Amino acid sequence: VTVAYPGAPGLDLLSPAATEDPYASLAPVRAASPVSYSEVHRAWLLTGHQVTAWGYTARQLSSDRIRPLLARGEIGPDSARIMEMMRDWMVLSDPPAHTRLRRIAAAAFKSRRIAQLGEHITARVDSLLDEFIATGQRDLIEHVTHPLPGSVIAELLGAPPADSDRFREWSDELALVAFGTGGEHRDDRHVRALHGLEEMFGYFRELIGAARSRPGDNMISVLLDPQVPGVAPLDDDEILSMCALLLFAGHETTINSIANGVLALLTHPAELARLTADLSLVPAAVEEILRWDGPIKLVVRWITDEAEVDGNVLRPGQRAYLVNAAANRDPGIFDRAGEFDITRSPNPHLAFGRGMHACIGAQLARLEMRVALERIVTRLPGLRLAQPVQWHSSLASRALTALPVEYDGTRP
Amino acid sequence: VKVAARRSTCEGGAACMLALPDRFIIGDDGKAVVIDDEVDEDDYEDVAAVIRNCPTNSLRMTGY
Repeated sequence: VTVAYPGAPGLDLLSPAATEDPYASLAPVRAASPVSYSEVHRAWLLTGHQVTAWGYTARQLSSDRIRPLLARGEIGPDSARIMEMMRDWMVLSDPPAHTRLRRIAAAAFKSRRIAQLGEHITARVDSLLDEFIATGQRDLIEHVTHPLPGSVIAELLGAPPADSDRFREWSDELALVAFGTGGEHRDDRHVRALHGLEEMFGYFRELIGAARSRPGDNMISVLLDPQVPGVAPLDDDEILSMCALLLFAGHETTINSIANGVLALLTHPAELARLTADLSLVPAAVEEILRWDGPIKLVVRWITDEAEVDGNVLRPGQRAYLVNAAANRDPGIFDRAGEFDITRSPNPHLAFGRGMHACIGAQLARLEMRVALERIVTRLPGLRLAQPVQWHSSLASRALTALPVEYDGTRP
Repeated sequence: VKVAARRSTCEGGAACMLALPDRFIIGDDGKAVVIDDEVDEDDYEDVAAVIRNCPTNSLRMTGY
């Protein structure tokens, strides 16, 4: 039986044009139909804001991409251990497993605990900027945005600050193993990454042991004794898995959110000037950055039960891409959707998702973005791009390869 | 004062969970579950803001 799907003919989201400007590539697809089937990607593309928001909450769409792979035995012995760990990740789980993990994680994401991190984040950003300025560096990603999230997560987990660089290495390795980033040297790097992750597991086990014998004011201590009535506590493997998830989920996305935000401001000098003149605009600017050029272009879901959306029938076993990069520029929802406006309100962007998997770290991500952007525009007056930028070719991540800048008084 | 979710109108958009992940989760049925309903003076404003921002107006405070 041949089934005709409304197509998004030809659009390859990994093509150079779509990598450079996914928004321009996706606009005609969304305009033709908010739901379409891509033969190139063999996936449904949900590109309208309304249908994408539906996709995040629809019960027929599953987040569990690991269990089916494990069940089919398609994973080599090298990766099996990592996959076993990812099986416990709440982002990749459906209820009821998801609900239990989420309830416990909620205990670890106490609002006051997150708010208290503000001072730590400010001090860390300032010390990174001190060094950036003193050494005359140019790449804001390598020297400022990349080192930041690892040190915040280290602080959250109660690890010594001196170890925070190891967190960033592990996080890069995790990305490589979990999502196959890394390009041509992948096989070699894959093996090294697996070794690195074994080291990470050992390190986390030590942190868990230390928190068990001397509970402190950190997330691992909370995870060991979350005091959530009626919910079985996590075992050590599950805590390990959740620590790795926090690191993985909070690292690359945060780097790219800040870097993409700086880029958006540098390519819209009038908005940068407005922000610099009135720092009370920072929170709204953060939301607009997340809408305009957020860190996640799309999220993958599996269809487990037949679903009808906008006249299309999505069948079990098919894939759906929830395309934030299209939904967040939907002119039916956002006035002047193609304009970057740091005072936009309301701003119902989908950068943190919706529904049960919506980002548990959203508060923390917003805090890191606010502090970093405020300190960067304040401490680097006259900030401007030093060279044109390039983007990593990636289906899901919106990631710059580097962010070379100059500012008034850059050391030669 | 306590905060509660009206499950008959909640659509699980998760605005509450994004703002206060230690109080609200989206449960098995895709609707908000209040996992910490006690609202004291310190977080009254935060909770009030979440109630104002609920797109389906499904949250309320009770017990004044």
